[in-house]
Amino acid sequence: MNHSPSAHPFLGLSGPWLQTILMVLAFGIFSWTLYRRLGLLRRGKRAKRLDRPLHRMAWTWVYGILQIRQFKYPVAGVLHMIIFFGFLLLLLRSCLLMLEAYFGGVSEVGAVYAWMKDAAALAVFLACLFALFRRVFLRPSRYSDRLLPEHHSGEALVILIWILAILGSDAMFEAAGQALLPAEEGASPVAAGLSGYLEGMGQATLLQVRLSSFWLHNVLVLGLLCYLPLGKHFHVLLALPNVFLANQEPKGKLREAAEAGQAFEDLEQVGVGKLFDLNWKDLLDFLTCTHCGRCTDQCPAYATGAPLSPRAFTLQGRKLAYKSQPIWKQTNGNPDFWESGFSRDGLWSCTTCGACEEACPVMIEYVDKFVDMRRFQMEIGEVPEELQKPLQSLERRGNPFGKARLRAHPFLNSEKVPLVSDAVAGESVGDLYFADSAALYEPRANQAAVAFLELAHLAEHPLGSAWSKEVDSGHDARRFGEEGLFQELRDRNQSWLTSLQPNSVVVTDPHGLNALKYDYSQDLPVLHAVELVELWLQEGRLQVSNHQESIQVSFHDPCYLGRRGGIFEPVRRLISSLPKVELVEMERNRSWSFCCGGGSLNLFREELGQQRMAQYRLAMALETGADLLLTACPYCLLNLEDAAKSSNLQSWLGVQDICEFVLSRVSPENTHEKEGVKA
Amino acid sequence: MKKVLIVAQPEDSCSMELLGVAEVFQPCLIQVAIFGDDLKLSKEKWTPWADRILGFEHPQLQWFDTDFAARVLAPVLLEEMPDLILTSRTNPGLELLPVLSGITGFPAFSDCLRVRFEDGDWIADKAEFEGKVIHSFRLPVGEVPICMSVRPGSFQTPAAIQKKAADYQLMSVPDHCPPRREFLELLDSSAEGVDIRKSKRLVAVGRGIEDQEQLEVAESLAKALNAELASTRPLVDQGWLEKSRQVGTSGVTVNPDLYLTVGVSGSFQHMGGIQGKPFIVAINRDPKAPVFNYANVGMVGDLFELVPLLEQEILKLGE
Amino acid sequence: MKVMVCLKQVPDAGEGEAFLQQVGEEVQVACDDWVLNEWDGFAVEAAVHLIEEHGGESMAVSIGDEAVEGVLRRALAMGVDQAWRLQPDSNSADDSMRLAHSLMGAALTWKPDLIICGAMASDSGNGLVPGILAGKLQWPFVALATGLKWDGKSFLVRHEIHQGMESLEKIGAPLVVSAQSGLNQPRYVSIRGIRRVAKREIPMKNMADLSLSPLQNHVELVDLKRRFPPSGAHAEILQGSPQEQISQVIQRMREQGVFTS
Ligand SMILES: Cc1cc2nc3c(=O)[nH]c(=O)nc-3n(C[C@H](O)[C@H](O)[C@H](O)COP(=O)(O)OP(=O)(O)OC[C@H]3O[C@@H](n4cnc5c(N)ncnc54)[C@H](O)[C@@H]3O)c2cc1C
Ligand code: SF4
Ligand code: SF4
Repeated sequence: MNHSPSAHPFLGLSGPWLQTILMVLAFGIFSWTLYRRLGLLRRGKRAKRLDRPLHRMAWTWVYGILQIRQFKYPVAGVLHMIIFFGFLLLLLRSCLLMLEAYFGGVSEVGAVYAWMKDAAALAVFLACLFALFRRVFLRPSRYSDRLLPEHHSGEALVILIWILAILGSDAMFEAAGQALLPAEEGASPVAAGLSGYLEGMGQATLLQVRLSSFWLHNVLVLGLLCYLPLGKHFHVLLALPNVFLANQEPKGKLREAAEAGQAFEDLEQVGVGKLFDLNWKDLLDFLTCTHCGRCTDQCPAYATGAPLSPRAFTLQGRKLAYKSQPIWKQTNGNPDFWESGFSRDGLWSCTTCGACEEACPVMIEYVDKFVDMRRFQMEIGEVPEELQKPLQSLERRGNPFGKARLRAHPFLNSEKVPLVSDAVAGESVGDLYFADSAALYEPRANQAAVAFLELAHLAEHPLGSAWSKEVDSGHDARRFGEEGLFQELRDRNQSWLTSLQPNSVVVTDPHGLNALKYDYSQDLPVLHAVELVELWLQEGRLQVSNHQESIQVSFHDPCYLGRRGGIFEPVRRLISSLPKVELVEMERNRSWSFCCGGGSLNLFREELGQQRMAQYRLAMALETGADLLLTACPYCLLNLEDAAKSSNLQSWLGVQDICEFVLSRVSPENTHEKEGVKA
Repeated sequence: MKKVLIVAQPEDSCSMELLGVAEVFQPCLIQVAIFGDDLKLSKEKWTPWADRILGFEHPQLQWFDTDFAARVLAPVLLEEMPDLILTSRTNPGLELLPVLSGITGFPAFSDCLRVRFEDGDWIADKAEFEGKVIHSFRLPVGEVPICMSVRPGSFQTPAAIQKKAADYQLMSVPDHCPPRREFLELLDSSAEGVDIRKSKRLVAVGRGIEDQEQLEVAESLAKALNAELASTRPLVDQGWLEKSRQVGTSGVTVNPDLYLTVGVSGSFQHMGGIQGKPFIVAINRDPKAPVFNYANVGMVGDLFELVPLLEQEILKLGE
Repeated sequence: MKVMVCLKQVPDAGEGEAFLQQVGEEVQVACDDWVLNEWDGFAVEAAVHLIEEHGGESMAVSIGDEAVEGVLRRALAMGVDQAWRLQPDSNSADDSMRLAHSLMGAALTWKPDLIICGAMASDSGNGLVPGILAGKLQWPFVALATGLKWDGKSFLVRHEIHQGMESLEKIGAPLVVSAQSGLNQPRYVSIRGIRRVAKREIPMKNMADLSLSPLQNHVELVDLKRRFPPSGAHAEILQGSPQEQISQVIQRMREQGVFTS
């Protein structure tokens, strides 16, 4: 055999013995650390994550193995894919080398594999070198985090160097073998190449080189295994399980405050105040995080300078978890979550936009955790001062603006939108417009809603309204953690919805859309205005004029319409069907949209960053050179328009609701025709 | 003849206005109770206006300890049985008056805005629901002494009351009345940066002002009015004014008597920061600006024309 | 330490003065939407906070029919230990002397070291009850507290005096304090919190329970009518040349007493 380590003792020990000792040591350490680490999960609360196993497997294939999310960040994505797949191939090799210590020659499995392995090793080698270069010299901003005191790039460097060392030692091992006894075939090309440099060494030296490379390789591989659970490369082991166990609920749906069958009111404890009030999957999230920083990179709160970084939250949570269950020391109690260093201001800065979750390659969840933490804060009365007034207004008056019902804008009670009263038995009320607070009580939002109703009127699509019974959908009360208030508002709305039994509900506010779809238990079709307007245009029920100036518009995807509601393309189709209107997309569009600052209760919170999200967003819109920025949510409209005012830009970039825009392009004939019919 | 007893608080610049209430009860005997550790000045001040001055002189009254004052004054009230006991509804007045009422058992009337004699009855008005309504009460004058606090600024010091120089009587402070409040420190809370919430008059400026330099237009109006400058958010965002001047849902909440807006559109986020029922004057060139839905009086026009004019007129008033 | 807080329910006067209705010549208060008086919220928070910090017991009291249980429950949800509802002394529910009389009964029965009230009620705006109560009890009274601490022997009270000034004083128990808005930020009470105290029994105490004899020889002020002060809903838009408008606005401001205050 080709000087197999199985046959040559090293450090006075025979190959099999040495390998056995190494393996026992390594697996011992590894199992204990793993036991301690994963033991953490048992301390979390319950959560069901094993439903629909087939679906989960397909999901894992797409997001875990093919890792399609990687490509949003092309450079890092490609590097990661190379290292990932290369590593899979090399893993086989490493296993063979372990066996080599027992059975000489098993690692020589033929030319094809040798070539493949070499190609993989070379690719991994180059990828690692480039990754190193990138970390050290190019330093993408994503890898530093102003909310994390420690710098995590160090660990990444160590690992990259470690991988290089594994590759190198393997190559040396083979090269020395080649030099000792050149094989006819089946030799790896790299080894063959390298062996050239070893010529001239004595046989004994070569053997020593070969043996020490071999053992170095095995020690490094086993060492890496032991190291994995200690740092960020735990994800190598946990990423796939974490993806498999990811939340499979619709994106806008929130974790329930009480488990099924339990009344919220009777709960002994509400929400998350301490570390182990989180469920086991939340804890697994903490362990799995790769530190990649994609979440924070997408987070609008972080971008604008608010004290929130989702990655920092996860890593602080992880650190706290490790502290409460160290590997070699005694297990500690259940610490208060604030001990992690995560701040209250951070907690309340999240707009629940979901950008972080959309970006995370390993499907780590944030919004549910934050909401659960807010629930706890609500319970103990630790609520930011600015929120108290709107919350009380919601409680007393059913809207966050504190307006009395008689101050609602009575536009809805017109012949265009008849007010539907209690259902007459057997008679359907048809499609119902659910206005929600903004359209009813905020004048600017009201204008936008009127534009939509005007379009409905022109398209002869009858809509009813029950505005006099409506209260706020409670969507944001819930997301701010005031579950009791949400349930009360929901119950009030559901009671009239049940008695009216409309065919469908139409909304202009995407938050209402999300609430009705996922927070309420009604089984009703819910449509957003843009879907209907698109339909009307398509069917020719709305005619747009050709005699308009050409215009370039950009569109801001509201979080709860797009990312959460999945409604992207109807808007694009709608806009492209308008003559002389060109859509110029912002770089961050569709599911990568950047939150405007959030709706409803968010309107009452002063953002903690240096700049407001809406201003940030507006700057992105300006870059497109569009004349007009469109959106489809009353709160986006308010925030963006306000940003335009604050930056003194209003003169050259207008902000409009998409319905207002369509209305401004409807042909006069369309309007006249309708009037004519009426008269 | 009716007897009116004025409780003059040492730091109260409006106490002379209480004579305006007494005037309604003319002819009447006016007594004034004064407090301090040295009464020379206040004695001189009141001598031309009163029939009798009751001086309470004691080291504990160097700063106005209302608890101490009430306990030394109450026995005198029970003895004198004046028809009306008046004091200003200042912060110390809010302390002193009800305690007097509690000790003596005389009914109290708080925050009087107006008193009139109508069909044989004494009627007093006060504001309720932060000024949203005016509530009238009939005062049982003659049946029992009435303790009344008067809102500063609601009455005018009369020119007409002519009194001979008042009798001065130094009252003895009983020994069995040990002070119960120990004064430690005086704190100037307004020194901690501008606090427009404390100001009774505000001039609020909005984006209509256009430019940081032009803020001066509004600033000098505020100065003429002896008002503080308030602001909408966009100006604060631009860094033109301090954050503590921003009124609104994400700024401070104010409760002034006068709110004069200049180039403010009147968004709910801004107007939501106004509490109570101030008199709102709006200057805006857009007749449809929502601010006119909140204002009592509106002027439609260019602020750069109107504001300097207004300032001039106000300065003339002051002369 | 035992701390008693006195609460009043007032009409929810947020926006839209729907509860104030013009009936003939007068304005009537027709309210079915009652809330805890804003200043009383500061009082409750202060009491709960003191007990959390120094131990002891807190109690909320309010005078009135069953309806006032609403505000007492809110106080329970905020963390006071118990609540009493006091039966009103007579029909004239809003007479400060009678209210203070009932509260005195509660104080003499329960024997608190400290009584905290709101500085005033947002409906009447009187601010009389706390002081009258102190006068009747012969306890010291400090109005408009913006700070309240217990140093183990006495209370340290910071409170507003004249124009922008505050004073810090040291006063022994027992004591009556009225709470001003800067005192604290009342904690938020979640709907769940309120629901959870919904079933708590709130004892009612009548005069006999408090060993009180009815108030003797008390003469009340006679309640006449309410009316709206003059001014419209939409601004009066001034007409005429700028100069004329200015004179008019000055005239209006003068009528409003803007220049005298
Ligand atoms: C979440 C959120 C929170 C907010 N919180 C606050 C807050 O706390 N406080 C706040 O103030 N705002 C707040 N805003 C902003 C608010 O919505 C408005 O944008 C802002 O109040 C408008 O300020 P403005 O009236 O100065 O400006 P504009 O709305 O632009 O009004 C300027 C007005 O000046 C008039 N004008 C212009 N030139 C002249 C002239 N020469 N003479 C006379 N009139 C003239 C115009 O007719 C116009 O009505 C908030 C917004 C959001 C989205
Ligand atoms: S949901 Fe949005 S705001 Fe919240 S942490 Fe994620 S990205 Fe940031
Ligand atoms: S949570 Fe996800 S996106 Fe954020 S750093 Fe961790 S792995 Fe990356």
